[in-house]
Amino acid sequence: MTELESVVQTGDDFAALMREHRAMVFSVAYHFLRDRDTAEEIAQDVFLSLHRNLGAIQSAAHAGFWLRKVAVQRSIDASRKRMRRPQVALEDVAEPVARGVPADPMLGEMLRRLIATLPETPRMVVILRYQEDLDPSEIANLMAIPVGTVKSHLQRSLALLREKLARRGVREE
Amino acid sequence: MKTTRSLALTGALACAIAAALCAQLCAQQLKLNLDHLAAKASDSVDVSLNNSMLQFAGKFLDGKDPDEAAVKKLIVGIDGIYIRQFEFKQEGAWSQADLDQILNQMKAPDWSRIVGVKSAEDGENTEVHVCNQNGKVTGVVILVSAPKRLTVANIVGNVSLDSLADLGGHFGLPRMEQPKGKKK
Amino acid sequence: MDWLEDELKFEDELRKALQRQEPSPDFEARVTSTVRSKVTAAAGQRRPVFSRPLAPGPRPLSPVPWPLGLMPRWLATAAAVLVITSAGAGYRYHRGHVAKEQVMFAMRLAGSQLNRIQMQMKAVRP
Repeated sequence: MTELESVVQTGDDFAALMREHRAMVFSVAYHFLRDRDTAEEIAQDVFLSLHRNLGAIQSAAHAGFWLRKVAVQRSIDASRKRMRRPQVALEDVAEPVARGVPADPMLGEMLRRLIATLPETPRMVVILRYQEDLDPSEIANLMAIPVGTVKSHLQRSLALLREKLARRGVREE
Repeated sequence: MKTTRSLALTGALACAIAAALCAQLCAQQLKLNLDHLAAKASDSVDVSLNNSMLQFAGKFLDGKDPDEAAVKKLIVGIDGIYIRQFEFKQEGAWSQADLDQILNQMKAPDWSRIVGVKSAEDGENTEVHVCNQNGKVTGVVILVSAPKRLTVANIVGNVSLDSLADLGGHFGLPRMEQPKGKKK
Repeated sequence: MDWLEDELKFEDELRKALQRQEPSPDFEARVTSTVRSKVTAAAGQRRPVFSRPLAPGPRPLSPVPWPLGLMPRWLATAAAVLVITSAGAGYRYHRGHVAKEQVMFAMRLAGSQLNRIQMQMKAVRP
């Protein structure tokens, strides 16, 4: 029965990892791409990849890091394949038509929309910082970019997001 | 050689007939190109059930439950059910062009609008179109448009309008009495 | 220190906006189903017993005494079939009920609209 148990055990490990990390993987893709269907496809692909590479995973923490890294890579790849909207700098994005002062519940949605208009790298940096609570050095390690670049993206993106939101509020007066 | 030629001709004829039948069947199934509305909608529903899915679902309908039994009977002749429903937070999210691309697909002689109802109270407009071939209904489209809502339901196949209307007696809705004979 | 408080509040709003969300309820079932079908395909391949070395590198996540690749082929196939049958049956049941609910929703929608039209027509009929 040892052989059967080992197959079941591997299955159990994989299922446990999926339960623990599915929201993280899906959310990285969803917040980056703003498309549920594509995000689910990416998440499925990431977990299938994990299953193929399960033997190389060293620990539960390693699995989390591995999944996050692959989710980031696949999301960026998917974004590059999408030809729907060209990447524009946040400063060039037209303001949405103002219809009323946004109530607090709408603020989250507005923020998500504005984040989705950021260029790829700053967008992913913001998601990893505020969805995953990673510090700049962890983000730099994950995305293989310098820490200084991460900090610069964060600073600039936050300033732009605040400016856009503030402008929206001023227009309502 | 003659045999090969006749086989080839038979094959070509069979393909042509199949294509014609497919085109006929496909004509009752509309192309609902409304994905662009999903991005603007606060809530959206997308149901797409082809014949095999309907038959599969039918196996899970409980014959002892009156609602499910009625539906189980109804879907026997149905080849597909396709529904897109959108709700929007604000008016102006959908346009007449969105409706036109659906209405334009029902310009063939087989299609006819059998009823149109406008509600002045809530601005809701409901239309029912049917595809009638050889005296049988082979497709139904129900189009419901309101300032903040748009629903398109396309039912393909041998649809019994009486049975569909009879469903009003189920699902907690009041049953409508069927008119007894035509008024002269 | 108002600016710092504002900055912290803004970052809180960003965290709220970027809270993790769950994928659809049948996500795990779909992934599991795909994984199991790949296990069957792998088990069915002709693979000489004991001819493949253990994968080099770090130790696996948990002790796995006999890696799948080294099992006797008949045993791997039997294990895969057992797992797939039970997982597949469960997944089929789930998909069937999802389809059933969609059919019921569709029929409710069509029935309610036609019923409403009938009521309106009855109201205007002399």
